[in-house]
Amino acid sequence: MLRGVAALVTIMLALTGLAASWLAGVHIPFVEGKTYIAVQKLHAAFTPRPDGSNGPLFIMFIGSDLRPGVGGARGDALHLMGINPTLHQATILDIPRDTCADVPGSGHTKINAANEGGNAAQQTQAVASLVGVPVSYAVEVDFAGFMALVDGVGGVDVNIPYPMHDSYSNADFDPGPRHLNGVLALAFARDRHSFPTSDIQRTWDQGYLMIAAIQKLEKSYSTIAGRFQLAALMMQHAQLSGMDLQDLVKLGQVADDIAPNGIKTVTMPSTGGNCLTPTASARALFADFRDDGVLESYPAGTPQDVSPSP
Amino acid sequence: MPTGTPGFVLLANRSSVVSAGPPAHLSAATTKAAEGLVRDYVIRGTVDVLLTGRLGKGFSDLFGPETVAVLARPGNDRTTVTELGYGRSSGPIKVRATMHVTGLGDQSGNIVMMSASFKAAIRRGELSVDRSGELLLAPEGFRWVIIGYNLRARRAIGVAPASTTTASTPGRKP
Repeated sequence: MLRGVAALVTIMLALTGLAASWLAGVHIPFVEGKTYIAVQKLHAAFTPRPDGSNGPLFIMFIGSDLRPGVGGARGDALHLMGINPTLHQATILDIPRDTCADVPGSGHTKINAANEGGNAAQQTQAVASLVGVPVSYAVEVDFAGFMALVDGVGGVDVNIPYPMHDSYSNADFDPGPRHLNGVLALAFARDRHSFPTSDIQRTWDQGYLMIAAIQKLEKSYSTIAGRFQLAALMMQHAQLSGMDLQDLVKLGQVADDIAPNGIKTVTMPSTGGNCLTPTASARALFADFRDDGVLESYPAGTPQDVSPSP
Repeated sequence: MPTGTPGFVLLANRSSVVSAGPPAHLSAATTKAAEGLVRDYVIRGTVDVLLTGRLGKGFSDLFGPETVAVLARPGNDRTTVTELGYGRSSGPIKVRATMHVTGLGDQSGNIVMMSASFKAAIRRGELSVDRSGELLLAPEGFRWVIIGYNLRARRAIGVAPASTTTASTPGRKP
C-alpha cells in the first residue's frame, strides 16, 4: 500500500507547464511566509455509492506560469487526477495546454486561458466540463512553490527515459536514474524543446514526475504523524479555501490508500495544431475515466504508464 | 474488565508536536484524552471481546460517525480493528501498552489533530494478540474521537503459526 502519500503535496510537486526562456540561469529565492500554493474545495468530495462505499474523487492540479515580472497567470500544466478508494487505484489524466474547450465567459478557446488572472475555479470548471466529471478540489501551484515543495521533501528520484538537453528550460539530462532537487525538477517539467511532440511529451513528463514524487513520499512519510509533517510543511506556503488543515490531512488519507502500482498517467489524445481537439478515442477515455476515476485501457499510441524508479 | 483496571498497564508515553504555525503545545488534558482513547479502544475492542464475545459498551462512541459506519460492516477492517470473530480463550488477561502521541498544530497554534501511535500486547493463557499502529484523532464537540487508523493485528495461540491482518482508513469524506 502506498503510505504517506499526502496527496496534495505529492502531486503539487509535479506541476508546472512553462513558457520558454524563463529561469535560464536564474535562481528563484524561496520567500518565507509567501503563499505559493492555493487549494480550493469546490464540490462534495465523494458521491456515495448505493452500497455505502465512496465513489471516485477527482482533483484538478494546475501548474501556473505566474512569476515575478510576468503579468497574468495561465494554467499551463493541467492534470486531472481520479482516485478510486475502493479499487486502491488512481489515474492522472494529462490535458495539453493547447487544448481548445468551452471556457466560461470566453467561449471556445485555449483551455489554459481559463486561468487568466489566477482563476483556478474557472480553470477547473473548463476541464471538468471537457472531461465530464465533478471535480472536488483545485490545487494550484506556481514556479517557486513547485521548487520549494520539491526541496522541502528532499528532492525526487526519477529514471529519465530519453536525452533532455534544452537551454530554454535548463534541462540537461542524459537517460538514466537521477535525483532532482527543486531547480532540476522544474527544468525537467518545463522542457518541451527536446521532443518532436513538444508540449504533449512535456505534459506526459509532468505526470511521470508526479508519480515519482508519490513514490518518494511513500518512502519518507509513511505514517499519520508523517502526514502531519507534510501538512505542516505545506501550510507554511498554502492558502486553503473552503477547507481547513484537518480536511487537508483527511485528503492525504484518501491518497494513502492507493497502491503504488495502481497509479497511471495518460495524456489526452488530441488532434490539431495550436488548437487541439480531443480525438474520438479521447472521448472514449473520458467515459472510462468518468465511470470510476480509473482508466481500464488506453488509446493506441498514447503516452502511458511510467515507472520512475530504476 | 472496565476501563482503567489494573490489567492494563501503559508502560511509556511520549508526545511531540508538529505545527503549521507558531509553536503549539500538547496540554496534559489533551494528551490524557489520547491515552484514554487508546486504552479504551484496546479494552473495548479486544479485551472485552475476549471476555464476552462482544464489543465493550461504548465502543462506537470512541469513533467518528464515518468510521463507525465502516466498522459496522462485516469485512477486513472490522476483523482487524476489533477482535470479533476470533477465539475467546480463558484465564486472566494482561495488557502492556506503549504509545507516542503527535499533535498537529494549525496556523494559530491550536492542536487540531493527534496521531496516537501505539503497541499493545494482550495475553490470555496461550493466546496472544499484538496490536500496533496509529489512530488518527480529531476533536468532536468537547471530546476527541478516532477518525482514522492504520492498524496491524497479530494473533497466535500456543506454538501455532500466528496470523496477521492489517487495515487502514480508506478514502473518507474530507
